[in-house]
Amino acid sequence: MRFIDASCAIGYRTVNYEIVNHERFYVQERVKQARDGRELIEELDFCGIDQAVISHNAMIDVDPGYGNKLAAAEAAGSGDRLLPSWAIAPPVTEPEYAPSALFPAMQAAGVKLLRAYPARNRYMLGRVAMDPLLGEISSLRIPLYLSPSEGWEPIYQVLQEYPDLTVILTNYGLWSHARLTFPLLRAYPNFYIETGDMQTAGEIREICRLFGPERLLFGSGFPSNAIGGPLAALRGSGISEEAMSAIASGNLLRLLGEVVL
Amino acid sequence: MSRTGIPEMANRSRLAQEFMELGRLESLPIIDMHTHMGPFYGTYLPEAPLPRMLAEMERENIDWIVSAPHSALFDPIAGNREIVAAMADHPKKIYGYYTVNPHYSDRINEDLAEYDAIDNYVGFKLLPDYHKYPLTGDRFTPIYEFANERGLLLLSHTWGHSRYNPPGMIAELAVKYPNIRFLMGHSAPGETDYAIEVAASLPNVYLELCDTGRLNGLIAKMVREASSEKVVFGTDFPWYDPHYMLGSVLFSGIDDREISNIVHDNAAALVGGVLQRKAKRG
Repeated sequence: MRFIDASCAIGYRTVNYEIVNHERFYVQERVKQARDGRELIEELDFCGIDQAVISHNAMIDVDPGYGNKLAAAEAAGSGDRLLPSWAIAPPVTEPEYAPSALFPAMQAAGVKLLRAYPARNRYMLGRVAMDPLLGEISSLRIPLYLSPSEGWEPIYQVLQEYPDLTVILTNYGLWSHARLTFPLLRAYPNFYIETGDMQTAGEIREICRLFGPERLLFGSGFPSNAIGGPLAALRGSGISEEAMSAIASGNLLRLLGEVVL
Repeated sequence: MSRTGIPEMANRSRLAQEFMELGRLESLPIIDMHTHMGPFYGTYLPEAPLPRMLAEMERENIDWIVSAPHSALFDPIAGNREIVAAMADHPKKIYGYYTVNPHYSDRINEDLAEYDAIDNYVGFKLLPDYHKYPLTGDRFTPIYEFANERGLLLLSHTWGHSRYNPPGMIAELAVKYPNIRFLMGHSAPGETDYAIEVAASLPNVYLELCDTGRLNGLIAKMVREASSEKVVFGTDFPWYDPHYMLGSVLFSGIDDREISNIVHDNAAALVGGVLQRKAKRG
């Protein structure tokens, strides 16, 4: 079976490492990080993972644009093992994030996935701050990674404003999130969950039963999580081989194929 | 996406390869030393009812568990009734911790008088961060004396830099009560380096994996610095899927002997020792 990890970070955090337990509750704990793409590929090879979507920790700790350049460079030097994702910021302050500048740059760098850290970068993830970028991201079917680590309200609000936006939930902590995510899965057909923090017993089966396997993307959240945990949770989940294969890589490949750039 | 070749897994662990082939570990049953039972206020747990837990244990080849139900942790009136009933109904699958709520210690002597008569109790469970009472508080002294006399297990929630259950308090108690086997629940997230140091230096202190075992590189560090004999498998099940933590162990880079110690052998030895001592007391 082909596995593509939908969420890995490379580079060192300023403080090693901020672990999300659940929303607004972090633990500071040292983990084994991947300094660069080469070290991450060693981790992928150890676990038999074909490819990985990467972010760079400098997106969070230095600046989105600074980290974006590093992520693109690491991906470019990896063959096609690493798929870069970029962080966004408000175009009203940084014009390089206006659609007319951002999308050609993404195309040139082979970037098809975006991320937003609104609390960290101190902006509001909504129409007032992010128009027209979010509308364009939605209409071009570019997946946007969001984390509820600073609370669920921004995710609920942005989906109310942009109900067709493709959102991939990531880094949500290990407490079960079902009371917060099941309503989103029910209301928004383009809402997906990356499975790195999906540790709750029976949850993969439950989501497949209620919403279908097409709503989950295998991911690890490396290095917050060792890849082996989410890998075994999916492999040992008891769902059908077909559903497992879709989660392992098929769903992500489908989403990437739908991006219009 | 142009890739067609799928890389072969470089992890040479026979157990990891077996798991990836079968979707479960058939050659090595799991023993989970940190479990609960029933629903919990803060989260939805699909596998919370006991019949679903038992079915999941069968599916994942979990030999047996040691449990402290949420009712025992949070309903002072119900106390330990649920675990006593579960152990009576499933004596080969469920062992129990006697849960102590220090705010209702007035009936502790009556309860301790009954403890020895219940076969599948193997020790005590404390939850100081949630009960807002420190591990080193006087109300726990009768428990420690009782457990020390019998050589019981004591699973306590631990958390780094906590005012109620930091690893330093476990170290203090482990020296004072050398016959108790202390299991550090979660291995003190935020202060795991200190927890590992305590487990490495004190013969009666063990690291338990629930929560922290998922962090990249941590299991390998525990084994390297405290040895695989001092790490026990635990998951908070039915909170967390034992397969998730099993994967964290199988892909941690340790060898199959060390994996066996963590997933099964250490727990079998710890609980087996308690039961042997209990049998000797009559």
